[in-house]
Amino acid sequence: MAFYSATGTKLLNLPEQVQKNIDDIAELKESITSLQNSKQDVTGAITESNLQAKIEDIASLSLKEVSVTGLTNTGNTVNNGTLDQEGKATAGGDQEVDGNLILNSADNVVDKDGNKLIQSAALDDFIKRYNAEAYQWKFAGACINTNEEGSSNFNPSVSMSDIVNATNLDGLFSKAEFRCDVVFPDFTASRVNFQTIVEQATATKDFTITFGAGNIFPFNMMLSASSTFYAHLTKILVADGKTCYLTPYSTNAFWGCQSVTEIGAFDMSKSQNNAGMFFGCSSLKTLNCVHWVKSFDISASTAFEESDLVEIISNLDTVTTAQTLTMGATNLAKLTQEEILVATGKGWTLA
Amino acid sequence: MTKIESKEGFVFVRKDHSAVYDNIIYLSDIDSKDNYEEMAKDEAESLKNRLISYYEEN
Repeated sequence: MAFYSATGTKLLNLPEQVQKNIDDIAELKESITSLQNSKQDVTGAITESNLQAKIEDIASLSLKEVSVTGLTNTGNTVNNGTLDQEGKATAGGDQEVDGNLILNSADNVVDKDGNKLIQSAALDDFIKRYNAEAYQWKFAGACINTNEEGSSNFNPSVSMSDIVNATNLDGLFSKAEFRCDVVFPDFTASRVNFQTIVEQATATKDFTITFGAGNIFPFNMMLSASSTFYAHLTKILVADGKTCYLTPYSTNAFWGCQSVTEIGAFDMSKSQNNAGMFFGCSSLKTLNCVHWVKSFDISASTAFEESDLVEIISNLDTVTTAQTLTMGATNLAKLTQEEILVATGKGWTLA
Repeated sequence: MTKIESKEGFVFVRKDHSAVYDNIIYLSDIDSKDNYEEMAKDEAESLKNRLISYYEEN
């Protein structure tokens, strides 16, 4: 009697039952391989010591399942969260790979028959990279640091480019320590949730945050960080040439940012409520947001010069229902009657 | 444009108590002084703190 493994490797003299098992394995594998749906190879040499494990591995396989070592489709392998064929699957939309539909949702990765794939470590990683919801807490606890100093807990695999398709960044930097500037990429989603992205975050050096293009939902965006974070965050900017909307409302967006002196050219035309947006922003001097259409309050700061206030007024859109720019008596006193008229002429009350 | 100024020791608040202002307001032509009322500074400060807490929690 000859003893060969499923891959044709000649084996040791094995008992008859063992050989039968090997033959069963080979048959099972051939059957699985011939199918067009998702499949999983069982790799590695079969030996007497691991035979039982191999049998169990193969016996546990069924069509459309995913094993701990990866998901395979014809010619395309998902390993460590990447497809070996560039662009085959990306977040932001459903993707069809050899007839199997990968839905862009953590809860729904299904094959063409609608069967849920069994989650595995590899699939989890895939989801983390390509499913937006899973970006929550992505940088939680990380040391946001671009240099070597004190970078012992900085994860070099963390990359802003990974989050371009995110829709929910709630808690993104929770408990993170900031030591350098942060630059967000352009976002593709119709709305990216930035709620409490810096909860309990700290900072040890002055830094800025710069946004790219996108539609940011900034509700409570800077709320609940530590005092060191607020002490070191100096500017919140929008990259030159980028259009970054704050939408659909900006309640408490920059709450507590006491050291921020400049806020960039966010487009406010889609923001329907700006209550509390600048509460505590006592150092704010340059506010470049454009297309204001709803009331807002900058009275927390008296650092504005006349030219700063004139710039803000110039960025008010004309409104048809009365809106109020609240700047406080101290700031109001810096404006001339003509400058005030520009605002009221656009339908804005100055208070 | 209409300028309204509150009495000494008072400031303006929105009638629905949704906002607190200082003692001077320049109204646009599409706004009305009927949308505002005067409130004693102490009381207005208390209202402002309540509003801040409300927004912080919501």
